[in-house]
Amino acid sequence: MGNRQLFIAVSGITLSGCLLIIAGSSWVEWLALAIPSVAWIIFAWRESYKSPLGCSAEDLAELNRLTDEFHALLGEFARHFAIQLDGFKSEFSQIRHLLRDAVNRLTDSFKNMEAMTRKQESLITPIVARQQISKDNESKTSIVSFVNYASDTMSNYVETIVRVSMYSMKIVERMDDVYHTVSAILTDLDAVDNIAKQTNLLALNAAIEAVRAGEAGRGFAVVADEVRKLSHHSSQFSAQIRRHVAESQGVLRNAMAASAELSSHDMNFALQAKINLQQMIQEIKEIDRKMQMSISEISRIGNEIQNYVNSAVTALQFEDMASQLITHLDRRVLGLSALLDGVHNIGASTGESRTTTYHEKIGRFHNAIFQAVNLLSTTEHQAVSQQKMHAGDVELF
Amino acid sequence: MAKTILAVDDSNSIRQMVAFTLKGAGYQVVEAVDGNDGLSKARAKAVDLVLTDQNMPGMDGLTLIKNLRATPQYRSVPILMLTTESSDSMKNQGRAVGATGWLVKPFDPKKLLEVVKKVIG
Repeated sequence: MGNRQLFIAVSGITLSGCLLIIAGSSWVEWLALAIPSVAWIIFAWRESYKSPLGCSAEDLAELNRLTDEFHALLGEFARHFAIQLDGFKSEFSQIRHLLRDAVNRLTDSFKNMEAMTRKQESLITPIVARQQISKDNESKTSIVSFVNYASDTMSNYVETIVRVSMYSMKIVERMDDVYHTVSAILTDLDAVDNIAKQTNLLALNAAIEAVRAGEAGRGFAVVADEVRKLSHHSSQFSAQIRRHVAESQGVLRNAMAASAELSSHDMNFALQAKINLQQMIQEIKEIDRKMQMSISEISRIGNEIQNYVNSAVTALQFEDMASQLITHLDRRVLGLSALLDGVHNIGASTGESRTTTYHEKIGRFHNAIFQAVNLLSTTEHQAVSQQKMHAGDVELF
Repeated sequence: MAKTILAVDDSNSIRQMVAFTLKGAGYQVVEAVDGNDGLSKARAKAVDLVLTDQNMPGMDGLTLIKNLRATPQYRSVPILMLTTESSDSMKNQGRAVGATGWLVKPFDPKKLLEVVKKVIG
């Protein structure tokens, strides 16, 4: 019985006694006063069975039933919440592993890409450098230098051919002059032949005159005979010269024809070759220009790829930050788990009286909150404050 | 001869990226997974520079620096912090225990190389 019930009972009995004393000796009057007193005692007796909150026994039973139901609901809530928290932990762990795996793969990919870029650059760089050195030193090893050299050589060659051709034409002209001179010699040989014939005729006449002169003309006859022989030899010699000159004239004619054909043919070929070569040289120069542009472009792209790889390396560090944030979230979940244990223990039955259990449960709940606050206090320091994946500051002390 | 750098970080990806960046520039890199591992490797083989994270299981970066500075061999070896921590209070703690510099993650490979070259050439 509580203090309130005791006070009501005592005050009821005291009030009844006072009323009996005041009422006097009449049993009717005594009864008239006793009835309300007894009624008051009964009322007080009933009051003594009510809860401290003023509930009746039925109310108390209902309250206990509701409390048990509430505890059961808290237990159910805590069970479901714990399942979700376990899910958080498991999924955080899964995210961490997925991130780690993905980032490791991405890192490998970017490493290989970067290595390939470096290799590509190492192949291109000497070519670019060589081109640059060739430009600076006018070396004969570059394509442009080679083309220019070939062009100059070809021009010289063609000029030489043209000059040779011109000389050939002049030679043909000279040979033509010679041909005419030789023809003139043949004409002159005709005159020599005539002279020889006339000399022979004169020698014959001289021989006739010598015979007519008799003994005195014998010597003259000998001279005439010698002159006639001389004339004959002259004719033979002239014929021989004519034959040789005619042969020379034939050879000269053939040489003139061959030389004229040769000079004409070579000149056309050389001029056409020069035109063709100039076109080819222009094309080669254009190819070389484009090649140099491509090489420069490849080199520039290589540098850009390097920048992108650097940017990727910066961005890929999100895994480290995400991992730290997940660890931070894990700590928060641990704190919430501790709180949840406190809630769960409210509903747990210890088999002791309700009042004791309530006190103990409240104490356990306080303790759980204290532990949770301790755990959660470790989450006050956030190691990762970055909001974006921009490169961080650098400070040298 | 190539200079050796000790990279201490519990994140495998960060270690890989640090090593990738530094090796690409011709440095030798020794990797350690936390402060204890870093201390052990630094003592086993002399390095020219230590690059360490702060928050690691076992031994954190500041404790590692304290331990290294207590070792005569590492009294004047440059030690750079490479961490997500960016608060002034943490930087002051780093300065107090003997850190040479403070780099906030994520790092830019170019900037990292610039700092490393500036510190050890």
